[in-house]
Amino acid sequence: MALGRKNNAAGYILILPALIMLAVFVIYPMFMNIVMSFRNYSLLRVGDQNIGLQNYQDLISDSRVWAAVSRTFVWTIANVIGALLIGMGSALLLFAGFKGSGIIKSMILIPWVLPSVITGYIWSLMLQEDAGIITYILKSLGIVAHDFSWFRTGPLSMSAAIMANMWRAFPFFSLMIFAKLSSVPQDYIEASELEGVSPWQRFRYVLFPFIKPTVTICTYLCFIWSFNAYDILKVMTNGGPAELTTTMSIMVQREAFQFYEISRASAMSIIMFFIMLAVLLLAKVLLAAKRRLSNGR
Amino acid sequence: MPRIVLEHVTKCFDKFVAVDDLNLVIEDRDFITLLGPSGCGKTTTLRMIAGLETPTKGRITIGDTVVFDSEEGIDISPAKRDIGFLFQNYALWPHMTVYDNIAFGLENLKWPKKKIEERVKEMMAMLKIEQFEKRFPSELSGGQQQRVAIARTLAPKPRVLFMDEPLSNLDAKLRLEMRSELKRLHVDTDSTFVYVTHDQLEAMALATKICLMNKAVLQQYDPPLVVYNKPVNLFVADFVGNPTMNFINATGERKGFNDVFVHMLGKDLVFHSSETIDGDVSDLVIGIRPEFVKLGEGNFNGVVYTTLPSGMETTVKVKHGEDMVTSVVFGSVDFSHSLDMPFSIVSDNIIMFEKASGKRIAIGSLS
Ligand SMILES: Nc1ncnc2c1ncn2[C@@H]1O[C@H](COP(=O)(O)OP(=O)(O)OP(=O)(O)O)[C@@H](O)[C@H]1O
Ligand SMILES: [Mg+2]
Repeated sequence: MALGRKNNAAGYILILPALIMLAVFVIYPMFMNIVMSFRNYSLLRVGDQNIGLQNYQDLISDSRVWAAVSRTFVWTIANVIGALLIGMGSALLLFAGFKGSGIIKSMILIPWVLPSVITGYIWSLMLQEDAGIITYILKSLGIVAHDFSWFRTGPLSMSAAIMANMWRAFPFFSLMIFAKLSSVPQDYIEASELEGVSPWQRFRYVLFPFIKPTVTICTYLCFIWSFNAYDILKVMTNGGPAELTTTMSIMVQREAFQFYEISRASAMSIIMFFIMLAVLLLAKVLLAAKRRLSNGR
Repeated sequence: MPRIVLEHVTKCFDKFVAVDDLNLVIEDRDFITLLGPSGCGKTTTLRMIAGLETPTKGRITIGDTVVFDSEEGIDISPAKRDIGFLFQNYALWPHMTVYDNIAFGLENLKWPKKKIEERVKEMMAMLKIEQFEKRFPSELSGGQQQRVAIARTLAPKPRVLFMDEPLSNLDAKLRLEMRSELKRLHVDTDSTFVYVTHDQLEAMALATKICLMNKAVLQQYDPPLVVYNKPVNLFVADFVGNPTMNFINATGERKGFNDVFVHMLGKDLVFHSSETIDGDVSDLVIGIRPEFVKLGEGNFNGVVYTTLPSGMETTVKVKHGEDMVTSVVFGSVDFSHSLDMPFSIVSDNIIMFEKASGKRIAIGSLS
């Protein structure tokens, strides 16, 4: 027993550096974030005091905040659906196999491991209005007008950023779903072959039930990651034009590091957290209800 | 009516030959078992007929349709071969109820709703699984899942039903029970069954014909009792029967067309066959089923080595010089070890094998 206790102490000592780092760079800032949100701390003023829920009240009655919330939802939902569909489609293609699918399997993760700031810059360059390759091709094919720009209107800017983010996010789905598909027992696939089911039915009744849990988890993760996503939007549109692509994370960042209103930014980030939590809880409740319903038949 | 014909069917995995030049005719309404030791190519053969594996060479015909021909490039998809396949681990759809599992294949075949319902009900009654209609496969025991799998496979009325060791996941008692039900089902459904197993008792009990394979090559294709009584070579004789046949080395000398002088177990005997004995009789292996060794009296003098009672019958091993002779005695007996035990060999179904080739050259009696 004495030996066991000694080993435990050694264990704690070994994880201590990591714990300290975690405490200093994650736990303490998180705690301070909560504290700050109840004060009126600003880098432009000297001194700050406790103002209770004032920040929250201001933010909730600010229509700009609500506009950002709704844009965040547009951004998130478009990204989740897009990445999910492309990810699932590419996973099925890889699973069916084609010439060269082996190489693609090993390369498909590249967009995912690329730093998203770089992804943002690459896409900005490709979509740039004069020299961007994509815009150039669209213009020379006559699909868009000569003075076309991706970044002049809100919806187009948003679509450009969504495209870039989807490109970055889908490989994760592909790989996770592909891995799950590969673990579907061969017997099931052969049984469906013998029963002569159509490709769609094979997906719907044989493959999908197997990958469903993976898809669910991937959807949750993609939701969280997109909801928080910041770098690609920052690099490509910086929230513009005229705040039309300003999502909550862009707004929080601007409030804190451009306007130096630290407390307002803290409160905003906490609101963001609760919105995200609410959505996830709602999804969980709905899924549970659906399961109860389908079991109770 | 479906008659399955395999002509020169060969399957290679790279350089490895899994099935070598197999010729087989499965008659309509046969119950065929593919029997053989592990890795001999049974599963591969079955999967080739079903269309789940593509043969390297050969031609397969089901009924009037050529379903595979390597030379003409014919390869009909499994769904169009009108067959059922029972998988070893059942492959029931886990997210569908028992009812839906059975109905799914019929829906794919575009049966009208009413007919599907009738057929599913009929199958559930036949396999006694009505009470599980609304359950999911995970809520059933292995044997119940097995029944659902059979119901699902039989529902579209396939002309041929393939089974790959379908009972190997079940416990011994259930296995016996399902065995007799399968045999009953074969009669009731009027279809052809092809059944893979490496259990020779199962093969004996079920089959109308056994297809015994070893190392990718067909050894013997005959009804069970023929395989048992007239094995074509040493491998077949050794593989079929429990306890295994006694193999006794002997030397021989020709006495006439039908008779051979045999020296075995230290005695000079005459082997008599009703047919002409061909082949080299100088070096022989004499095969004697344990039930032909009568204990208690006779001109051989052995010593009891072990006694293995199993209730209904008792296996007794008797040592005779260098040779060990196994005998089966009806009922329970318990001989004490090292007891002197005379025995005789009484049968006209003694088998003579050529030692060098292992081939059977005669069946007859010893005196
Ligand atoms: N996909 C494959 N690739 C390479 N070799 C294979 C493949 N499938 C089977 N084999 C080989 O072919 C031989 C026959 O295999 P098969 O599955 O038909 O054996 P089996 O008689 O069914 O044996 P068991 O009783 O163990 O199931 C084996 O030696 C196996 O290693
Ligand atoms: Mg097998």
